[in-house]
Amino acid sequence: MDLIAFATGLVSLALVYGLLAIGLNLQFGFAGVINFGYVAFFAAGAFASAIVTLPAPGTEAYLDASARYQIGLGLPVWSGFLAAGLAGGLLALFIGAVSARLATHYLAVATFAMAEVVRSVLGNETWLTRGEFGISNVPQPLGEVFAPESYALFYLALTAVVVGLIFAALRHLGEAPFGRLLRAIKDDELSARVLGKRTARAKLRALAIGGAVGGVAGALWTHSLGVIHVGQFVPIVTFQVWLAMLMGGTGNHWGAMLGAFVLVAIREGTRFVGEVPGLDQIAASNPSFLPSLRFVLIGLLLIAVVRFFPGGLLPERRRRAPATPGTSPASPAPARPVAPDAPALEVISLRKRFGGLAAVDNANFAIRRGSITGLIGPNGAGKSTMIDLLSGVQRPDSGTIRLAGEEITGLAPEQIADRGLGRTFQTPRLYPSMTVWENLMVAGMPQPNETLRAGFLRSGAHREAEVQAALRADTVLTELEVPHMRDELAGTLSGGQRKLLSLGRLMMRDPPVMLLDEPAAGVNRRLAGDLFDRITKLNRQGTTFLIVEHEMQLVMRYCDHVIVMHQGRVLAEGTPAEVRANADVIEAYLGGAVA
Amino acid sequence: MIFVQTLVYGLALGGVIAVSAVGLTLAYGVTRFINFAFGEFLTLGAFFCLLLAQAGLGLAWAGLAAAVAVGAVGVLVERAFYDPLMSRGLLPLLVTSVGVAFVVQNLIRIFAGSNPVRFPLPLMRPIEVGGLFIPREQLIILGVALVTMLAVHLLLRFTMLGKKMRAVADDPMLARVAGISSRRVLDATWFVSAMIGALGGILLAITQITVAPQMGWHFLLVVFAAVLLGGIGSPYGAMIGGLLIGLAMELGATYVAANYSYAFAFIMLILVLILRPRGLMGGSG
Repeated sequence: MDLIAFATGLVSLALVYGLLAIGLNLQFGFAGVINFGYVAFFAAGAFASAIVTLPAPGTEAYLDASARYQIGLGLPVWSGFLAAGLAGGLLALFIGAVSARLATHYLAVATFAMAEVVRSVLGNETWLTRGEFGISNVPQPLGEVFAPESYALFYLALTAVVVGLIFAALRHLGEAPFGRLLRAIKDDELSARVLGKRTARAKLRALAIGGAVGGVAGALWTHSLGVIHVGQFVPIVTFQVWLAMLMGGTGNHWGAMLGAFVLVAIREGTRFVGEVPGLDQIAASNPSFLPSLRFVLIGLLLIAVVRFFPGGLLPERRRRAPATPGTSPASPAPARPVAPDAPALEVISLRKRFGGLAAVDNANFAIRRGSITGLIGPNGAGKSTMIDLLSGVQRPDSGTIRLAGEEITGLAPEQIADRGLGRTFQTPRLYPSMTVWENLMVAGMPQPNETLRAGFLRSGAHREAEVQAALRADTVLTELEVPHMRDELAGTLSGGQRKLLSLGRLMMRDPPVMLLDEPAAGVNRRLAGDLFDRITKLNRQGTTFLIVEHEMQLVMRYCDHVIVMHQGRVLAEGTPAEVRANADVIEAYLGGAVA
Repeated sequence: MIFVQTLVYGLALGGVIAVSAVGLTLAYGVTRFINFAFGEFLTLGAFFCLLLAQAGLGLAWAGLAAAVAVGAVGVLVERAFYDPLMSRGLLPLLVTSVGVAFVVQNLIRIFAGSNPVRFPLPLMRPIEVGGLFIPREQLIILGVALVTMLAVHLLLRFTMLGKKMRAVADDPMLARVAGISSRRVLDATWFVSAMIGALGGILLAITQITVAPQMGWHFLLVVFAAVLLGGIGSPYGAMIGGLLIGLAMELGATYVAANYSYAFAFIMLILVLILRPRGLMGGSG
């Protein structure tokens, strides 16, 4: 009987830690937010649920327990769980809103610090929490129905149901477009933004859900203990959750859950160290030996897991793309609104300085709709900076950029992407831990289908969007002649294949204007020719291209207009033949070497 | 009157924070991650100093010897735990440093017990200046802090090692191309970082009068606040950040709410991060 009670207690504890680990996993394993203050959500949920459900002061139950706390709402336990989720989620929203602009290091420290502020507030505001004394009358749900000896089993079942439901919901969400977007953000946030993804919003949502999950875990825990005090919520709790998640395997909720069970097994295993001959004497003579040893062990595990098992016990498996229902239609001819005669892209007096260096210095040009324009110039001429400015990755110091007649100067990358401009990077920025198919799916998923609601409730419309995107992905793979690479991890592709996939992702979105930064650099000659044939075909279907390219033969052959940049200015423009004959260009760029 | 007194205490506390912050930020400069085990250098410094003093060494000598010993520990920790992970990105390093912190802190606890131990400071009569009583301890702390910061300044400006450290901090690849052995610079930087941390820990022990296994870990957040406030990786920023945080904590404790003095440090930190995400000396954007 004793053993059963011990085992039920451990399993309940492991489930609570498992819940914490999957909450953290959503924040880090999916969205890549390094949160070193996760315990704050646990604490907020535990206190919220306790205070909401405690019998109000003055009531009979309060007097019977000779309690000392000052605030208790006496509401039923389910409302406590609701309050816990809300408290955790709102706290996470607040922390996210404050620290959203911070880079990784600052985020780790800021979340760590905020958890300490939360603990300090909970410890000092004794009217609310009784501080270090804590509150020992936290009600146990249906405590009066069950006999004390069977209560632990009942609570275990309750915990299993709650944890199981949340686990299933989060897994569901992780497979939805929302989860796919989060993993893309973790791999490369900027690259998601230039594909028009609202990354800040998605991260904030992941943070809030993770916070709410942590809050519910707090409620589960505090109602099972019946006691709550601020000393329970020290930073080491955060790092035990990290350990569970890392040990199990990040990005994988089953792994996180398994990691929690391993953690609890190891942690509680240290209880028996005191019974090992030899160690028992040390333990008896030194009261801090056993508790310290437990933390030493946790520290060593953190070090060892990170160093020797970076993938964890259950590494994230490569996903296989589902078979596409139906037959893929021929690439649909995009219907484009035919606007007045504004140029596809127009740049007026654009400037950008980095310290003393003028990378783009009063550049002016216009790109005709439906053209393939080459952007050439010697190294350091400002070509890549120009692409960054046009796509919103960097903000110009002054000047104007118009896309199809509409001003887009200074807009964020995702806003510019939404207005119909796509770009690739000189060094392809894919999502290396996702498959080729997933890379395409992230790019092709319309934003309304990536919301939380769409993740939870898969209505017919959302399922239809997934099917449409999958069909489109198949078409793109076929057009690029790489259908066999569907399930390859993007991180394992060769340089040329990466370039191809970057273009493929743009084809999924099919923006009217594409900026390609050296699409053929590092690609072998035959593949480069194929790539440009593909570009020509897209161009015939109506896409306007601006292409930075060093390979002059490709430029001469495929571009119908060429802009030459030199020292941040537009040196010359015209047809390839005109540019080739231009004396300034020969002087500055070709160095007079072309016959 | 109270104001001036608070100012003195604030400056002394600021000095302790500033010294510790300089140590942390120096190591950040060459390794590019925030060492969550830095607080343990403080704790180790204080405990080594206590041990040596109990063995009969004078406090000043005990402090110096302890600092050198902790410097060696710093190099060991870097080589054994951090160096193998250098190419694996940020998170493994951060998590490992947390692990190291738990291991060191609890090993100390096993040997020293959980309870605070009195730091063997000789009794000193406070100095009276115009009706103000200024404890000599605070003056000593301020003095040691200033000397340490001056030494760091001289090291960075005028020695070959300091120049190399700045070069590696600026651009590790370029420094290697220029023939700077990053291995040696790394060792030296970690030695200096841990040594300064130990000094900070000893000063902290003097302000708190006691040493305890958790002292460095608890103080770590205050040090973080100073480092981020000044702009991470900038030693001069860390000095200014440390002094400001020290003053803010003492003024806040005296005039607003005594039990929130740590919280003031973080609230200041968070405000600065919102207004200037890279810290005061970290440049803009």
